[in-house]
Amino acid sequence: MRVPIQEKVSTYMVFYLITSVQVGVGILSYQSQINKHAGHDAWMSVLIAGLFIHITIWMIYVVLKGVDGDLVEVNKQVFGKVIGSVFTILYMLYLVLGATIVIRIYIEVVQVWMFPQMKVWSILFLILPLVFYIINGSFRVVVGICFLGFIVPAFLMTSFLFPLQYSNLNLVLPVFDHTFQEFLLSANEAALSFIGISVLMIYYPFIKEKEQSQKWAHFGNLTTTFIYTVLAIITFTYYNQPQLSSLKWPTLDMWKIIEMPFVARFEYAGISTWFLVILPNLTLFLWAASRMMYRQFQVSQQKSIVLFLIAVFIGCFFMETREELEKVTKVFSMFGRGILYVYIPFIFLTYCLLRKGRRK
Amino acid sequence: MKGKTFIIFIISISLSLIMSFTIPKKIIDQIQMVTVMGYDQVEDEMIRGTAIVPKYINKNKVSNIIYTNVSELIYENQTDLNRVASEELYNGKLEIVLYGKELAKKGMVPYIDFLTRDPSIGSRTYLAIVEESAYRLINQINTEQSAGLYFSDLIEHNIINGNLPETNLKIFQTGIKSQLQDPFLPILKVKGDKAIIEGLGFFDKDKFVFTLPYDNAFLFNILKEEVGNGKYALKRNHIKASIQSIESTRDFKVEGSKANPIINVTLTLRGVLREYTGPSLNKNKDEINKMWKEDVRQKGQELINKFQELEIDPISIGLQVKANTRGFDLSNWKDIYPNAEIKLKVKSKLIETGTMN
Repeated sequence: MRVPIQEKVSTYMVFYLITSVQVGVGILSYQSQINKHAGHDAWMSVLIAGLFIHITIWMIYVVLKGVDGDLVEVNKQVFGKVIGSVFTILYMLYLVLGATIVIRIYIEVVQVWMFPQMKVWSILFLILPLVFYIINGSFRVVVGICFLGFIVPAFLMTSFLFPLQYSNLNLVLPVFDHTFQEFLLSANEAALSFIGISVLMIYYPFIKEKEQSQKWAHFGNLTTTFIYTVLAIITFTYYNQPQLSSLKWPTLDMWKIIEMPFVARFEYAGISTWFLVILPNLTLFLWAASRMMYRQFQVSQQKSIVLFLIAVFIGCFFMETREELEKVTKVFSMFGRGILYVYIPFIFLTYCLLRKGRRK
Repeated sequence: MKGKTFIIFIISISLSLIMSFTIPKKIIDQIQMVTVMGYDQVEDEMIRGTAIVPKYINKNKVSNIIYTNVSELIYENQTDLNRVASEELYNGKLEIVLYGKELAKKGMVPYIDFLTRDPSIGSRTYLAIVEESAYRLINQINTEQSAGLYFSDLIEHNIINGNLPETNLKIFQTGIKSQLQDPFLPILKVKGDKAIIEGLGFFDKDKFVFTLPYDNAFLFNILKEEVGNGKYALKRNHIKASIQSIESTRDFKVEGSKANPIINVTLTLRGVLREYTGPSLNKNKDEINKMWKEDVRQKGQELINKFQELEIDPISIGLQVKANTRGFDLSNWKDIYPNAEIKLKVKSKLIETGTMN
């Protein structure tokens, strides 16, 4: 399987592909999830999770460099044709589910914070054609969106300097006041925020100098870890623990403190800009799903995107209340953890064994 | 793009836009922005809500419209207020929420819930207790400007330049939720057709328990946070001095055992003497400084002891101890705090005495 050179993207773009897919809707609420076990120390669990993702990226690269193909190829080689295709389909479902959840959570945020009367389908009718238009272009357009989705919203990071005025460092002291086990349990929660990286296994053949792209992937992950850690520290010094646990979106809640002479409520600007953060998530997930469909069943990508978009649309309809949304998110996180803890290490180990066997 | 896709695009986007047009709009001329809300206890479970809405008549002229009603829930109240308002009422510009003292004594949690739940209300919204009733204060106030601006300016300039500690919805909410500190709010009172900051009200969890007169607010301010522009009136024996532009830093040291901690609070003050009557200043400068130091220490220690006696912790000493103790036990702290040994130490410096010796 060869990808024509005009469809390939520059090596350093892997940086934006990694960061933009990791930062999505999870960053709005991860603080009140990770503090469940390690309390005020949980910001360090973010570092542990980030380190773990570095190892995962390394494993992915070892496998991909050896196989010199994408996930479909890996599945075929590791599991054989039949079982391999089962895993491919499962992974495809995971991606579509991910896109559905991301878009539904974003719509929920818009409904709660900006327009309570906004209908779900009415936003979807605006967003889904856009997603189709982007994916239908080519992979390079998707990467372009990832680039914009990192650069344009980057200014939002400055908005998190405002809460510092009310920060109290005592709230995160004393450090290391939890057991190792609690740190790991919180890291387990934090890992969910980094989950998107596995899409790497699908767009890998589209990178110009594949082997050299690994450092950009690590650099991207380092950047996200940095963003998540800093934001977690800011949040933990701004809220005390009981208060933090009672909030749904601590990141958005912190914006309530911002008051500028020309903007009374910053959330409106922030949440609107946030669309550019979730757009790469949507497009990359759905592009990857349709690409797998093409690789596995030779269905044209255009057709499968339409199919997936309809699935996303219907999926959003079935998640009407927050409880339903939470239930589906739980399933999705289990899926994601399975990929992170079981699936990727498994294909890594099997690949290493196979390679050893072949050498002998 | 192919013809068919193009048509689908046009249809879906226009459908979405048409739908979005039917969402209720909030056009500034067709809504009323509530800037001040007041809540009072009437009878048992009922609250009286009073809202002020500024109406801009022409340039530089504002009239404050007052709506008031009695109901059980706050939003029920708002719905009822809408029955008399000429336009829909919105909370987006809320500057201050006033609570009657009786209501504050019963517990504030049910009445601030809506403030944090509503995304259109900012964390910088001020809260205050009213000595008699919020309804009366709102009706007595007579200002040229919008009442909301009047109240928020009153509190804001006292925070920046006066002795009022930083206060807003965010800080109050933090105090209520935390198990290691208790919140406080400024107390307002009617004075003629103006409002006056009468003192500071302290809470046990969310129940109002104690009033500190505003004369002593400086002491609480330096204990609570680092002050940049404090003011102090020193009146002792035959000396009267006014010390201004006070900068303070504070330092907590926790010693002793977990069950029996000793907390050393060290305050460092630097101030400028602005007014003085008494014997020659030049000779007595050191003595005045000493007197000031002793005065602050004595009154500050009294205040701390009073807080311990009431079993409230607005200075957030609990948080300081927790930050300095490994394996801090939260459940024990409530028993330890009232009897904990808290020692106040004050260092002071008079850096200038104005243009005279």
